[in-house]
Amino acid sequence: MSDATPTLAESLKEVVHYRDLLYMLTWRDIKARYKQSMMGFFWALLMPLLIVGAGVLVRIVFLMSSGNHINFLDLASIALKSLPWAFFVSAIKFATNSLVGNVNLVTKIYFPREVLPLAAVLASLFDTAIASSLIIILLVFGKVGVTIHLLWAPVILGLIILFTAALALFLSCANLFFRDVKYLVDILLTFGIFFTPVFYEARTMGKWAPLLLLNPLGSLLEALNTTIIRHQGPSLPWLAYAASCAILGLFAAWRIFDRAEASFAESI
Amino acid sequence: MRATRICFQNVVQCFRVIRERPDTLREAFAHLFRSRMDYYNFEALQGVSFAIHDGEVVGIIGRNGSGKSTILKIIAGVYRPTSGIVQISGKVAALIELGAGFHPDLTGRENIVLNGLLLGLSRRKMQALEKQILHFAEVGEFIDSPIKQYSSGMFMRLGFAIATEVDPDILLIDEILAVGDAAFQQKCSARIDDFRQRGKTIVFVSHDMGAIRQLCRRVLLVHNGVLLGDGPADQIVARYEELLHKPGDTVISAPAIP
Repeated sequence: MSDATPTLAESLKEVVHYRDLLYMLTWRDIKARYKQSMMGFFWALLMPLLIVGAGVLVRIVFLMSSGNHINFLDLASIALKSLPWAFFVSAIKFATNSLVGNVNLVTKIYFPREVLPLAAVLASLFDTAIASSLIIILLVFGKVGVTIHLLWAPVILGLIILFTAALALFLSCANLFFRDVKYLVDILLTFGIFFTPVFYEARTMGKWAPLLLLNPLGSLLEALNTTIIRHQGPSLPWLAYAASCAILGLFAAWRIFDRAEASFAESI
Repeated sequence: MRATRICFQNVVQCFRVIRERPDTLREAFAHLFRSRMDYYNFEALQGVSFAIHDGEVVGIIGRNGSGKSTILKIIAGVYRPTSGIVQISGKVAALIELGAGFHPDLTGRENIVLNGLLLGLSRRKMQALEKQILHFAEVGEFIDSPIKQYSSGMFMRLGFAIATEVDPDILLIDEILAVGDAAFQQKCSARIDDFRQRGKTIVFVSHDMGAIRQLCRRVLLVHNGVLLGDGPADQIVARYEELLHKPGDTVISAPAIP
């Protein structure tokens, strides 16, 4: 061991070595969230379903006021995109607080601290997976249909998770040094839904559409909708853009995290 | 020659003590417009060098704020030193603070696993060790209650049992043995002896000179971040007691404010 920052490979290897800890902390996060709550695991469904419900309601009101018929595919599209959004919001919220909320561990014992924000992301992923099973049933019974383009879905979902993990690492460590990052994140997440194509599609914005797609999450949600609901191939340039944001972002965030880690214990 | 387990070469640990540290973005933003940040550097360790080998039980003594715990935290990897070289070989288990690494809402049994995982062991390994840990800790049926209901003695028993059962190469103990009753302290001493005989390394921080004399042959004396003495226990303890009674010295080594 030396005082130098570990390389990315060393750091990754260490997290892999501590994978059992990652599982346990994830499980602890999940349990702690529901243990002393009256509704238990129903909470896992509540938040995503509220977002889906709100989106559907907004869409119905818009369609009725413009005199159009309500189209099932429109509603399926909103439901589909709301889930990754709900995952993103919950993962970022929990992860931002993950280091500060575990002062006891950070100041007293050594372990790769990356596992704390990553566990927060995994716990949120678990929640969303429960809610997703409902949406899959909806899509199957709604006869949305299956095409070869569905094969893109795992890739896109994977990129959403990577992008979320990148932001989670970065924000957890930013919040350790500056405690109001948490409030800033709350505000951005609350208003983020207006500037991300969750309840609407980017193309309805006309010439402003590229601006929405500059948000990697926006282009990923758009790609998810294109491949699953509209049965077309995704826009490859935008997908490539989002993929590089997610992957390079994760490398950069991991590196920043490792550098900052040296002063975690004294700054927290 | 026995293998070196812990090697410090000219280790400096600086803490930036900021008066009114900006801990929000808003304050940090305001600070941008000030000419300089209002801080001073506090050197908790000012170039400390020593080497500890296999089979040694080494005590670290010194007054409050002298840098004892900082040394332990560097060995444990919690702090990265500001400069100097630290080489550690082998698995380190640390009993640095009571209840560190325990989660209050999890049961004792679950915390045994959590503690082991924090040391980088696997879940399966910890479950295999569970029986021995329970046997040594003697916390009885409390093992299935959430840890937040434990007394400090129970925390220490469980912590000590885990840290020694995972069979580390280096064991760090910071002052916590004092909360155990006489019978358990004896059990701990016996186990520490057993560790030494098996060629393990133990670093022990305490203000209890009786315990230091009993457990350690070699003692390091730290004062204001400097290593003042390194030698046989009796000799160094005597020197420390001299230092304690020296008049006109501040109890806590706060740095002079520039």
